[in-house]
Amino acid sequence: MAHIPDGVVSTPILALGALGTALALSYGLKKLDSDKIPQTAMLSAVFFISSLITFPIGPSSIHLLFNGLMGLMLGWAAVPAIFIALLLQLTFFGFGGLLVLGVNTFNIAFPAIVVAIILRPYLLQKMADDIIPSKRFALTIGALAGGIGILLTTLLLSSSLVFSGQEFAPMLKVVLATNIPLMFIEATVTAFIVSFLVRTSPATFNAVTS
Amino acid sequence: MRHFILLITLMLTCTQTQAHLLKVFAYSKNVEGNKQLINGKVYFTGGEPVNGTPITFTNSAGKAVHKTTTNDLGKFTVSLTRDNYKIVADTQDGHKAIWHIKAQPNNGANTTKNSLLPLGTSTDHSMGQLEQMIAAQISEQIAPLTEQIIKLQEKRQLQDIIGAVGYILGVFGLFLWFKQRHLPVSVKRRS
Repeated sequence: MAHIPDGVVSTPILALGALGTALALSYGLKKLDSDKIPQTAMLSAVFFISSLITFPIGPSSIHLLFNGLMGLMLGWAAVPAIFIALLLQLTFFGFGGLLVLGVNTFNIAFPAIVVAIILRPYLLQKMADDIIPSKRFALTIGALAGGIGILLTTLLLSSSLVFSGQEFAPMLKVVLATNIPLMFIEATVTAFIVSFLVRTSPATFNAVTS
Repeated sequence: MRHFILLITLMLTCTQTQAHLLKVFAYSKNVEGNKQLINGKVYFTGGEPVNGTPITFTNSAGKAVHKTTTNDLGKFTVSLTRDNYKIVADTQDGHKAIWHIKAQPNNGANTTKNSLLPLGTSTDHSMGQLEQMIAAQISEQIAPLTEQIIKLQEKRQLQDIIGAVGYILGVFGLFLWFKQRHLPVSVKRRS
């Protein structure tokens, strides 16, 4: 659902996406600390593989994105992780397209940045205060991250299609039918991953104080 | 890391690893009365059929002449005037696929019987007509083969996946090297 192929999106949206991605990518690379690189690489690989396992729903098919989790774990470093995974999916499997790479990256990376700005400091603060936050807190923040990730990606995807002249009503029907279930699945999966990591290896979240 | 290993294991054991790329495939056959029968299907790479997908047929003049949707098996069949067609499948949520069909030169359905006759008896056929008949027959016969070849090409190769994961690690390894290379400079600046 998140890999728009070439020839669907109009030129102004293409330019906007490319610009947004370029800015976010340069800032993300600046924020990418050496200590964090192995973790970024690992999550990039997880993102790459999760897009290959798809489930058919209605007239389309869905897959997990993990962009909320990436925002929570990596902060701004999620942007280069997503960009590189998308670039390799394009070159190896032909997902998406070269011209829309900017739009696709932005649609997935922007929600990760939002999570990194809103939820990540909150989690880090809580971990600094309590050392090990309660299970309920970890589950909630994980679910929020996963839900926000899909929700914002869906909104960005829909608006990039609408502003490219796609008919609004039928598109919305398909997008909502496939992405609302996905939002709940992703929120659940992310919640369990975060709760597991917070309790077993809290260092994964604050490996670098940025 | 445990999750990563888990995902890799899942990947290796998952027999139905489909990809996220919409495809449309079609082939045509000439029928009576200047018509051609177009059969096709819409699927995600790996073979998962997509039902209820709107299909648009655009003729060589660039005009959308026919619209249909796929059935439960992701297939569609239409009968249209003989022409070149561009077939576009669009799931409406950003997945789109295109396939081109060329009009076949001669009426394959009518020539089927004639072409089975011994060459010597079909005196009413010129050499050119014969060639066209043979071409029509061949293109009809190899249509399923074309489909199989496309399927084979799209088969997700495990090597590709492992290779790509290797690339990801390699690229971030490069980042690491790049950052480390600059480390002494920044230390120097600080002192």
